[in-house]
Amino acid sequence: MLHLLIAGIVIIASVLIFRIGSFLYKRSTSRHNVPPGVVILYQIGRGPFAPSVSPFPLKLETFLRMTKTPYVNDHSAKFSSKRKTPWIEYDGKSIADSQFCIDYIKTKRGVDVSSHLSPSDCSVARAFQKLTEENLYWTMCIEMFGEDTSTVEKVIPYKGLKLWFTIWFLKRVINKETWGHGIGRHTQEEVWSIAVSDMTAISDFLGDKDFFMGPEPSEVDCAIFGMMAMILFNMPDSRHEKYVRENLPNIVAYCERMKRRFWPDWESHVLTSKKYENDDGKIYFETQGKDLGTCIYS
Amino acid sequence: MDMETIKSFVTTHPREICITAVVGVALIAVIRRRRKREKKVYPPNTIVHHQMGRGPYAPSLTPFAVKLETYLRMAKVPFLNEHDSVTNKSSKNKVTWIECNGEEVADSEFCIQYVNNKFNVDLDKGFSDEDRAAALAIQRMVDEHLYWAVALQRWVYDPKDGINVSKNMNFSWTLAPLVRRMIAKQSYAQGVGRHTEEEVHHVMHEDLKALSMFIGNKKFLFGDRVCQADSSVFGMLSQLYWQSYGGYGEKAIHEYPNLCAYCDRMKAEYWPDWDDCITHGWTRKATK
Repeated sequence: MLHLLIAGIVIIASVLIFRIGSFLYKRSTSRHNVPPGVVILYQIGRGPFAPSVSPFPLKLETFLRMTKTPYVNDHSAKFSSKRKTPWIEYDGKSIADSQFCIDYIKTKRGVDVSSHLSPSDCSVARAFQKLTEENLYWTMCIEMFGEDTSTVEKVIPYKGLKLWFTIWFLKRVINKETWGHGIGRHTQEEVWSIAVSDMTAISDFLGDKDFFMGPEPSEVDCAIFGMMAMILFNMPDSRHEKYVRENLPNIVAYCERMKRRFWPDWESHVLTSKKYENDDGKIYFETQGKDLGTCIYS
Repeated sequence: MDMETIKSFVTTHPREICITAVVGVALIAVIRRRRKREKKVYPPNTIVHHQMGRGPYAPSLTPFAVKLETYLRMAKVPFLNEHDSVTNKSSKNKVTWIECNGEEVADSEFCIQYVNNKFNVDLDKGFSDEDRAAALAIQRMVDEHLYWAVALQRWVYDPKDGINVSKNMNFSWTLAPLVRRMIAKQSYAQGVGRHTEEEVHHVMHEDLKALSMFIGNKKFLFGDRVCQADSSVFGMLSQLYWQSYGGYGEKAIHEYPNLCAYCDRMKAEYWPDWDDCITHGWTRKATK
């Protein structure tokens, strides 16, 4: 009897470890075969309410669309060398970290959607990107993965044990990261006051402009839109979402504008939409050449 | 008492030694806690700025203490310094904090907000909402991003290039590896620490370039008048400009002459007693 019990436990443990291991370090055995000059964008799959559940893939993909860079999505959830996602492969070279990906594409393709900005404006744009990604972002993580995880449960597209495990794992990671960062040492209310200052600053600077730096979009719009879309679509009923909708209407209008401009096909990339289509492997902005992929802009 | 006697005592009385060691450690911990509880009495309505102690070439080894004290000088509020925060840490385990009328506040930004509220200070008064927002963004970039590149450079990369951090910081040589591990772990958690050394240098330069382009030919961030964010920028740049001990950070800031000039201007304006607030390479005690 005892031997059977031990054998049973070992088998269950092995299966669990195998499944958890393969979930964490999922490897795609098949690689998308793309022509040269086409970026492979590795990101976790689409979200239930927005094209991503994370601001960084949305920022990166918005940038690719803003610069009309040919790209293809790989939703197989492989992680980069820095254990981060999203990341890209471009003509065989892997680049991790969304900002390094953007810088690489700018250099390789000679594109600069911020060339119309003055040096001082470029500085302010960078500062706001840092405010958004290095500060406000952490307040959002703390809000989502704090005591009450009901918001995040609505957004992660898993069920049952997979959902529970994902939340448990992410909560541990975020606690560790926010403690290391420093912001995790504050009380909930102190963190919230930081979030309010940051969101208000974004709104105050945006004012009644069409895009963050003026009448035309620039690179920083990708980061700001990525984060604001996260608040408005991926944090339903959270304090951040309520605060933006009730107090910062210019941010809501701004997100709608960005969606219309760069994501006219938004509904096709939202899991809960009737128009959802899996675009894994579909080439966007294929330039005139042998393979006529789908081009959503002329 | 010779070595042989000591050796034989140690090998024959391990239990007694262990017990003595444990009791000794416990006693030290209790005495230190009791000492902390005996709170000093300070003048009322005066900000007591608890910090680590003066640095060799800048008023502190940490940018946040230079930031906070510069801000207190900019705001012209009554304050005094207590150089005791290595043993007398804040509730958030940070080494830069303030107290006023018995109330404690930690974290440099919260300290500044406290002082603004208590003494009705607004260094950004008269700036447009857009400019105030931009100033906040610059503070975030400097304190939440550039800081990590500076910390990694000082504690992880400079030692690899042969710079003796313990000697420069006047720390015991046993402490430097611990601090290095802590910074490496924290910066990994934050994100910047996952980059290679070249990538961290690139990121440092991008932030310095942004600051340089923003300040341009202006006296301070937003013109002839300082704003609150100037204290953050000066705090961080002071570490690169004066306390990089010949490391990469010093070379980096010298590529932006207007940032160097900005540091000299802030020092002249708000630290006329600078020489009394540094130890001149640990050769003498700071008098202030």
